[in-house]
Amino acid sequence: VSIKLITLIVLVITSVRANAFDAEQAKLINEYNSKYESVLKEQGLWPNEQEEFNSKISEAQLSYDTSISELNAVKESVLFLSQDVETQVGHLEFLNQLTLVSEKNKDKIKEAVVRARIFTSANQVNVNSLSAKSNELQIQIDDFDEQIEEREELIRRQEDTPRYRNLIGIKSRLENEMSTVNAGISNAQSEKSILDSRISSLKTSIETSRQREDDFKIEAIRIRTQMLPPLQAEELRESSRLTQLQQDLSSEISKRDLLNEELRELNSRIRNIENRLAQDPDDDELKRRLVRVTQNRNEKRRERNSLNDTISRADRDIDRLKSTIERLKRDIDSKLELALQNDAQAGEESIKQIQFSSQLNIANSDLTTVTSRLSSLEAQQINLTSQQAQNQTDINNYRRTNIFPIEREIGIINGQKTRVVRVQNQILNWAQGLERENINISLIPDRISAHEQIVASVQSEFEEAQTKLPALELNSKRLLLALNASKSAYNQRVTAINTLYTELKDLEEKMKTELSGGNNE
Amino acid sequence: MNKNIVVLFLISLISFNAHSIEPGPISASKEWTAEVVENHLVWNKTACVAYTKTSDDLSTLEITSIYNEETDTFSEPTINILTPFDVVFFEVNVRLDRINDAFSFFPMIPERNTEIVGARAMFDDRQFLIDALKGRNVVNAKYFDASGEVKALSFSLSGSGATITNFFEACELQITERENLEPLTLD
Repeated sequence: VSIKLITLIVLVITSVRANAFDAEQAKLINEYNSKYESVLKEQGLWPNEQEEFNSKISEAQLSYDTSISELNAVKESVLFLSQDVETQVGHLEFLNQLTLVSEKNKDKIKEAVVRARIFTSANQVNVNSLSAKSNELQIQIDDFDEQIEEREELIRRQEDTPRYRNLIGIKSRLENEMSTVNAGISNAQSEKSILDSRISSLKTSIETSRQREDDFKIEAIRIRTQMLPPLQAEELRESSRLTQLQQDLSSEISKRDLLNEELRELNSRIRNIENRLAQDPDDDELKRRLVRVTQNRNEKRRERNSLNDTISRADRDIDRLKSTIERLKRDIDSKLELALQNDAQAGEESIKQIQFSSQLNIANSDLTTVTSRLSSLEAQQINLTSQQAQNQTDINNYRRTNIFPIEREIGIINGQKTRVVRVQNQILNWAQGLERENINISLIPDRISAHEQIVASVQSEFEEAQTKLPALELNSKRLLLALNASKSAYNQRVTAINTLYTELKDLEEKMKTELSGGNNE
Repeated sequence: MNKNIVVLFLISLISFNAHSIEPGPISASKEWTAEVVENHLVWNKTACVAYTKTSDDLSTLEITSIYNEETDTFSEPTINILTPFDVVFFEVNVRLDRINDAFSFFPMIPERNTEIVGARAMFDDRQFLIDALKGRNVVNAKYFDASGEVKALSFSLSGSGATITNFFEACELQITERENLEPLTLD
């Protein structure tokens, strides 16, 4: 009941409020509200519709793209096949011309044979006639070989005579001897080189050792003449001083003994006086005597103490002097020892020189022996060289007389044979050329036949592909139309919504002018 | 009297018990509330709404999306001011500190009757206005009543950001971008 009441009240209020607008404004507001709702509704539907449209368009696009791909593939295939047909036909033409080419090649060979005067007419030239010609020439070649063999046999006989064998034997022996002498020379030169080196080394050692000996001797002399004398003089001086000090000390000790004796005497006198004073303490004379004697004793004590100090100092001086003299003696001994060592080393160097000299003498002796041997061998070498020259002259003379004429004949025959072989090789080449061309000519019909089949096959493929093209092009056009139709439907719907939207915007502008403009005034 | 009736009306607006598409509250934060209502008192249809009220509870600022049974979805949202006063034209300022954005609201006619009970934001202003409502702190609405007098309403935006975001997500709302309505090029 309360809701109905509220609704009724609302209706009353709103009815009163509606009166605030005039009829034209109310119409405009109605129209605006209606348009607003329409745009809201249509635009709200759009996302789902757009999805459906897009799905259809994608599908149409895919079909169209597929058809285009297929069409392009067939077009490419047609293009490729047309090129292939062209290529294969070209090759067939080439094969058809091959026989002619081979025949021309054969004619060229025949002309060459006639030019070479193997035959007088080209008609005579064929593989068999050329082979027969080659066989004839082979007989000539064999004959040449036989002649050469005969002459070689003659040469062998000439080389087998006792005289020639003897010359060859001498040559061999001389070569052996020369080889031995050369080896001997090589060894002797090697030994001589080693000995030269050793002699040089020994001379250097002797010189070095001599220098060292001199150095040691000079050092020993320097020690004895320059270093020892000052030390010995100092030792002498210090020893004299020691003797003097020891004498002074003995004198001082005697004095001290005397003073000690006097002190004992004075002490005894003091004790006497004291004993007597003990019995007679008032004896002034005794007291004076005691004072006098005591003073005297004390004086003596001071003297003795002073003397004791002097003796102690003298003792210390003597000890120091003894120590100095000891040190000097050690220095002198050390220097003497050093001089002796230098003497000994100089002696050692001298012994070494004797040893080296002995070795040098042996090496010099060996060198003389080797040099002598080498001279002998070199003389032998000269002699053998001379003999070899003579032997070679003998051999050459023999060969010039007995073998060279035969070898010249062999050379002439070989020249003749070479010319015939060259002609034979040429004939064989021509024969092979003719045979090769004959084989080519015999094979060409089969190759042409096989290739004609290939051309027919490629031509057939090309025609088949070509026939597919119109249907595929038609299909592509149809699919493109379908695609554009889908897009047009999409665009129509978009246009419809946009038209509503534009109308709404126009109304909004109008509302703004009508309502806010009026109120602002 | 008018004031009380409108208060009752607005209270009843947010107390619907919808069944078909899970009616009930979606989100509430400070001064803002979002919910699905069945048989909306003004639109007479099931709707998804996010709204706030003036301090005197007489006027409502509401983002409304009506349920479409055909597509089983909510329509694109509209922004409305519902008020008991004789409003002819609204000029709404949404403010953050010293920054102002001004929007015009035109009168509207609800479904339930043919009379005007409020005003609606212009079609293209909706997205800007919703962004402004989420990010600013106060809405000042100046309006002209039938006698030509200028009046003012003030709505708080406290809690608007979270509530409006939840409202859009819960009801799966969107505003179609104009780029999606560009025609395609034919091949």
